[in-house]
This record gives sequence, structure tokens and C-alpha cells, in this order.
Amino acid sequence: MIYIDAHTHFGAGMPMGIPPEDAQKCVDMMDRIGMDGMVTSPPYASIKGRAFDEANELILNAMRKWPDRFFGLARINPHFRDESVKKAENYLEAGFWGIKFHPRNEGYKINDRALVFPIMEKIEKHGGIALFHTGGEIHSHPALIGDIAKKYPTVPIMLAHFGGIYSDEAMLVASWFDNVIIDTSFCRSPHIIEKGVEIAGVSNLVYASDYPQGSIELDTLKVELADISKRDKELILGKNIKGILENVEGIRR
Amino acid sequence: MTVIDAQAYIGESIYLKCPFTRELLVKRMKENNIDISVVTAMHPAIGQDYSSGNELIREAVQSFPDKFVGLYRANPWYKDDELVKMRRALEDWARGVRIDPFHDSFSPISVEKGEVSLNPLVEGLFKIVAEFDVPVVVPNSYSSFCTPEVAVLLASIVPDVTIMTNLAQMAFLLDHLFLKLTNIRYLTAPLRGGSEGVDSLLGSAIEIMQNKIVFSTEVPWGYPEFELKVIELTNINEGVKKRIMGENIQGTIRI
Repeated sequence: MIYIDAHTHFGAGMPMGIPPEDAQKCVDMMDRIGMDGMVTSPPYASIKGRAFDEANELILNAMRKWPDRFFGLARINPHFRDESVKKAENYLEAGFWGIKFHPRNEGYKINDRALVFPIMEKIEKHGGIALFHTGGEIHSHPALIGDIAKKYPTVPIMLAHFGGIYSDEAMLVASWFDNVIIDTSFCRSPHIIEKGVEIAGVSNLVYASDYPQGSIELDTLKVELADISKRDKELILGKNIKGILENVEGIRR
Repeated sequence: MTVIDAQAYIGESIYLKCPFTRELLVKRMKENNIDISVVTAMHPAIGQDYSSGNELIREAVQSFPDKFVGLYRANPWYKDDELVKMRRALEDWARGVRIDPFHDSFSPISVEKGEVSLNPLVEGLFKIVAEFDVPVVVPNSYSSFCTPEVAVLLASIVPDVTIMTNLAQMAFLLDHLFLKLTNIRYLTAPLRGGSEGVDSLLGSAIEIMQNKIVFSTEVPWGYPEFELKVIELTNINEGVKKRIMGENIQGTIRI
């Protein structure tokens, strides 16, 4: 079985001293639990001067050393406008698998045309995943993802945390757009995953934990407890994200 | 250690593939080493009248008196008719009441000119529960009818009645910092888990109000397996765990 976590964080500055700050420790942890790889991006705590430059570098180095285990998404604060767009392009050219957006933590709307769309254009051009934090605040409402999904239909757009309290809206958006993928991190119940399979379709769901803020053990347990087929569980736990990464790789070649 | 689930359901719902029977609940309890469940009728009821759901709960507690403790589910919009039925249930089998501001669309409180008072719609209900000295479950949610703050304010204006509501950060902070309530209990489900599985919200609540926290699963909407796993990973001291898993609710419902 392929086991890949589609949403994790990695790097210095994790809150409360949460591991791992060390790539080797993270690889050891994956080996111990039988995890093949993780899609990862810098944590909020690694922000310095409102940007994530150092943390992105740390992930880039880890990806170079373990290219089959770490699939890094560079984290960008779009408020730096042209500089952010340039950085995003540089990171994508350097080998990042996409960009992580956090509308709540950096303070903008998911579908902000001035801040988000120019970066999306670079992802579309170079190939990559766009991961958006969703849930809670109106800035991060999953329905806004539809605006981006429609404009950039070739970009896989991952919607984090199953839309949080707006899980129904997340499922609907994913059912309307083939390129919208829901990550299961912190989803409220295995029932939400069952409903997601029914409404959004299993191909639009990927297992994620938001590790280390979230728990790999608990979020995996939610998938295991869901009343869905073994095949669907395998797709969610790794096959789907593997397929998405392979497609991105195809575009980048 | 006696493990009591303070919030479980029995019955039929349009949201379930098949009815969740008392036998199925007993099976789930056995699988998860839960000794007793506090059970309530499911939503949504036909016409939002919980009569048939309450009847299933009555049958369940009479069939498994050592396994189930029943709550009467009341919809205050049925006004006096509901109060008559509720009183009868409290005399007969119910050990508490549940109202649901979100599903049945009302607020339990009124706020006018800076004063908080009971919504007249639930005044009669609270008189009766005070008379019987039983708790009332009032779930809080994102609905403006009953936010976490509303649930806590409700408890502050009905000092003779114990209110049981969900463990929400704004609720227990408002309680802990300002209101210092003795008549409120916080139901744990659904737990979220966090870094290394530790639920930081539960951890903080335990630090400041361990006697007010009661374990719950919300089965079949929730999963006992998941809730118990989070409790396990949160590394709670054994003495505190004993209180949360059973003793606190025993004191509240007199099980």
C-alpha cells in the first residue's frame, strides 16, 4: 500500500518545540510507521520578516537529499506582490512541487486577484500543486476555491482541513471542479470522509494530517474507521496524491 | 474504572443508513469497554416532534437498565404539550432533558438592555427541570442561536440547574475567567487531537476545571474508537481520568 501524507509541515521554529527540525529524524519517523513520503511546507512559526525564505531553503535541502520522501511546497506571503511572484517562480524552478497559501495567517482572501492570481499563473506555467488553508475565517472559505479552480483548470488545487466547519461547501466545490482536491487533515469525523467519497468522489480526496500540529496516527485512524471500501481507503491514503505528484512531474519535464 | 459515555444516541435519522438500535449501541459499548451510556433521541424528528424518538429511549432504558440512562429530548416549540410529556417522562424514566437550539431553531436566552434572561419559550421547561433537580443538555455550535458563550450565559442565569454543553474554548474561558460557574459540565466529544495526538483544548480545560469535564462520544455520529484514542494520547493523569471518564457524570446525573 502507498502511504503518503498530503499536508505536513517541516522546519525550524515549530511551535512549542514540536519535532522535527531535522530532516533525518523525519525520515526515521516515516520509516518507523511505514510512510512512503510527505507533502510538506514551512510552518507558520518559521516566518521571519513576514516571509518564509529560510524555512523554504531548509525544505529544498531536504528534498535534494531525499527526493522520494519530501515533496515540498514553498510557502509564500503574497503581500510582497512582485517580489512574491518572483520568489514563487524561483522556487518552482528550483524543484518545489507547488506553493502553499495561508489566507488566514497572511491575511488575504483565497481568491484575491491582485495577490493570489499572479502566483497561480506561475504555478500554471511551471506545473505544481496549490495548497490553500481553508476553514474558519471568511478569508479561507472553501467556496472561494471555485473561483481559482475555474480560472486555472490544469492546476491541482488542494483544499486543506476538509474546509473546516465548511466541509459541505468543500465537498460541493470538489464535486464541481475535477482539479479541486480535499485534504482530510483535522476533518471532524470519519463520517465526513464517507460523505466526501459520496459527494466529491474518492479521486478528489487525499489523506493528510497537518503533522506535526496534527497527528498522523489520529488522521490515519479516521480514514481507517470510515465506512468505505478498502480500495477507496488505499486511494485516499496514498494512491491519489501519488498520481497527482506524477502528473505534476509530467508537466515539469 | 467505570466508563460512562455522557452523550450517545439511539434511533432513526434521515442521516443514517440504518437505524441505530439499542442492541447496536450495546455492541459498540462492549467493543470499546464503555459501561454505561447516557442516551437521547436523534434528530431530525418527524415534524421536529421527538415523541417516537423518546419512546425508543424509554424502551431502551427499561430493556437495559444497567447499561443506559435516558434523557428526554424536548422541543420547546410544542410549548405546554411538550411540558406535559416531559414531566411524565421525568416521573417515569428520564434522568435529564436535552434541548437543541441549533436543530430546533431557538435561543435559550434573551438579551435586552444589557440584561440576560431566559427566553420565555423555555421558562416553563427550566422550572420543571429545577423541580426535578435534573441536568439539561444544551449543545453549543456555530449557530447564533446558541454559541458557546450563550450556553455559558444560560448556565449563569439558571443557578439551580446543571447545564451540560460541548467543550468549547470560549465557553470554558468565559466560565473560568469571569463567571466561575458550579452548575456547568463540558462534554468532550468531538475531540480534535493535535500534535502527537494530544488534544490541547482538553488538556487546558483539565488544568483549570477537571471536575466539570465529562467524557462523551456522540455515537453513532461520533466514533468511540477515535474519542478514546485521543483521550489515551492526551496522557491524562489516572486520577483525573477516572473523574472525567465516569465520576463527574455520576455526580451530575446521580448514576
